[in-house]
Amino acid sequence: MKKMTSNAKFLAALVLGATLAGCQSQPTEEAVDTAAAEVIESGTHEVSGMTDSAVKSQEELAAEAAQALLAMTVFYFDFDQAIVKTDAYDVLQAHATFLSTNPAAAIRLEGHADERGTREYNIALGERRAKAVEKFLLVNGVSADQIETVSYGEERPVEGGHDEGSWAKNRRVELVYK
Amino acid sequence: MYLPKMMMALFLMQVSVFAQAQLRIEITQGGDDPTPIAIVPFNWSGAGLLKEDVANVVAADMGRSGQFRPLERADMLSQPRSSKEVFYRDWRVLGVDYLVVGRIDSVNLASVQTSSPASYGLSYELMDVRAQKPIASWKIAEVKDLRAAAHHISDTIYQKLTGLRGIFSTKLMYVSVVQQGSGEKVYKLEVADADGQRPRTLLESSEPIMSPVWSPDGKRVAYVSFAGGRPAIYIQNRFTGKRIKLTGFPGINGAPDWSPDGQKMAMVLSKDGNPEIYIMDMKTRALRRLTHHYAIDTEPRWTKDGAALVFTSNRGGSPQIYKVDALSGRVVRLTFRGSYNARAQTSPDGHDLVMVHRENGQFHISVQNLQRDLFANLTKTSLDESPSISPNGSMVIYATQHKNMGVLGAVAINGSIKYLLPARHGEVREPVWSPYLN
Amino acid sequence: MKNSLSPFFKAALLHAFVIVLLVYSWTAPQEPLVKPKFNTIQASLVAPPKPAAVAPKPNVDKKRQQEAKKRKAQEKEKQKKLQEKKRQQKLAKEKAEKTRRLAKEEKRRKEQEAKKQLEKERKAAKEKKRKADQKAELESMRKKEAERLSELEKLRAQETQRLESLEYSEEQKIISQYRVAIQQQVQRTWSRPPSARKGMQSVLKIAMIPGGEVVSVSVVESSGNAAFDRSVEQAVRRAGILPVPPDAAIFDRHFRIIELIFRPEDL
Repeated sequence: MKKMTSNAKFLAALVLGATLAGCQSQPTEEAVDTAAAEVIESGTHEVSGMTDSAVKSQEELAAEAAQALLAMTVFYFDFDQAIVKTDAYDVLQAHATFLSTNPAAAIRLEGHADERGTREYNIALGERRAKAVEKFLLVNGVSADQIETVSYGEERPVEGGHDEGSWAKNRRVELVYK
Repeated sequence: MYLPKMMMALFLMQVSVFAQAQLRIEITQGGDDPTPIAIVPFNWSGAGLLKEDVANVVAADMGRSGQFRPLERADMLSQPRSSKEVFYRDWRVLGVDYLVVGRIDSVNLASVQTSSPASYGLSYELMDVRAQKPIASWKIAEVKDLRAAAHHISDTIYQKLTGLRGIFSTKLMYVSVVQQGSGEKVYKLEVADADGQRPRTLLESSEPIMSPVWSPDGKRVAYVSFAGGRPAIYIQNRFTGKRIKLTGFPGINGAPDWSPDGQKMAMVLSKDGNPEIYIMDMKTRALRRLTHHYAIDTEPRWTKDGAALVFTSNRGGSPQIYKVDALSGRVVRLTFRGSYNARAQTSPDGHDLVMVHRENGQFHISVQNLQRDLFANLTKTSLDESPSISPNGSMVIYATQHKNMGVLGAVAINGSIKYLLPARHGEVREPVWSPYLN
Repeated sequence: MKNSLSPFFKAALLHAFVIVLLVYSWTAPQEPLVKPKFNTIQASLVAPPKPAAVAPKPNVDKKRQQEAKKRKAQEKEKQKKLQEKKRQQKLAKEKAEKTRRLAKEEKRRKEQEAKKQLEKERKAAKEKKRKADQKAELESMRKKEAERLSELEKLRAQETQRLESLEYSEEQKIISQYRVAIQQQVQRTWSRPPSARKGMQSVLKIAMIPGGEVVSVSVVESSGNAAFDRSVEQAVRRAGILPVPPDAAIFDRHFRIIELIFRPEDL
């Protein structure tokens, strides 16, 4: 619930991002990346379609693109892995830039695992994932006291199914602005 | 000079030939088939109906052990009240080896004024049908809880016939999760009888509850709670409900396990940057770090002698079971089969290692004999986890998925029987078998 | 020769070393003081002749005569003393020479004695060894003989057994056939309790009547585990009737009373 409200400020960007990304709903890293890329590449192209909208300046488009990247707050991982995927780098870089330019902002990184394997091992795995994301942000200029990490292991899945589709969505780190 | 010697040899040979006349046959193999037993409904001398069907509870207990096959009540030809009324031939015809008869008498009627419940006296006898003679008889002078009395009777009979202490009066603790209509989840720490009946809630929370364990005397429990958004290890008195926060370090506070003498608590902390096994002295609260490795070290479980702990580590590239000496910290790898072995526990006799084992992408409960190179999967379902061994070492309780719900299953450590505990609404997970409680 | 000389050489060396050491250790710490001390010693050496020079000399003639006389007497006395001293020295020298000679003799004597003793011991040891060798040889011979005899006995026993078994072979065939049948039947009915362990053993004595019906079961050797004992009794009772040979004579001889040994091996 808290996450929902904290993310509300990115709502406009989200709407835009979602529209441009088409009906791709699977929140894999590829989808995130594609959405981000399309915002930038098709910025001018899309203008003709927006009947009510005035032509936007380059700055406005860049800001919107950044906002769209910042709206992505979930990062996915492979099974039994805690390595940040390269296609998440752009989004994480956007968060790092935002956090380093807004030192008062603080985040919580929540590590999660899928249901396979044992619970305490998955807690450790979730922590590894949260720490991997934390490390990326730290080397990109974010201050350590802006970040808090916690691992929920497999205790808080977003999908209840017992299939690869559900598991892929549950192996994640959620970045939550406090 | 050598003549007497020769005579002696001849004489000895004679004796051995004579001894051979007594035919001796060696039996070196046998089955583990359940033994047929009949539990005759206990005779109730009082008025009205009793709240519990004692014989039924005993029969169910015996059947769940996997070592006995109770006779259906409908198949009984007679219902004797004592050994004097038993016609052994009748039971022999039914293929029964052992017979239990008993009676229940009223000791004190329930009193509305003092609000004291009724109490009962029970007596029961165990008979050997084949030998046609009573084996033993027992009495319970006064008891209020008939269900508890029934489990006690099961323990007594089981021990008499198997030589092993029964586990019917022990308890199970587990975490249940119920999704509310609003989508919010409610986590509960519950304790039930060994047959899954009479659950009682110890703790309720909107945040996850994990890794419950019993104190060696069964009076207290420890667990991990995420109340407040961060994990912390708590200890709670099972009877008073009083609880204290044992640890709340930054990072992981997990997998608590009481040492067999109750003096120490093993746990996993990542306060130094990496999940490591620590031992806390329960008196001084002093912490001692036991493992030193950049890999994941977790799920410590004491061996029954308290000299070592088994734990899960991926230091070899995949999660495997290791054993660490509680004093020296010396580490030995125990499992080599497959690429995922975790959450292990040693049996009370120290011979077996029960763990979660992945095979063909499926997670089973498996047992590895530590003395001989024997390995067996106890379960065949795909998402089995959290095995916990009964205090007599005969059964393993575990969590599994059944019809898309988290339920509890039990399996004999020799694989002879497997059953699911009664399903409840919501998910049930992380069962832990209590120690002997009396 | 070299050997006998070397102790002297060593002694001399040692003395020299000790002297050097003494001198060194004596002087070394006093090095800075050496000069001033030497001066004082010289001064004290000059002092003693002074009292003689200070002697009075009144009445010269008489005194001179007397003095000459006195001097002569003194001279004589001095001479005498000198001679005496020389004599004493000679005596001492002779005495020392004698002692040395005696010591030398004593040493030679002792050496000879030691030599004799050594010879004696060597002879004794040689004798002892010879005796022991003799004994060992005797012992090994005895052993060999015993082995040969026991081998002989064994062969004899085997031969007897062969004859016996030949005699009973037909009967033995029947017995072993039913032995296996009983074994299989009881293994089928034996349900082992969970407390059964490898290494446990109990022995039952069972009595049967022709046809194989079991009429009595008793534990003659307990495993120590009551549940285990009960399970083996139960196994026989459950079986009820055991397969036995129809031949009455063979039944009577071998199957009327049998013993069953229960010893789980696969647990």
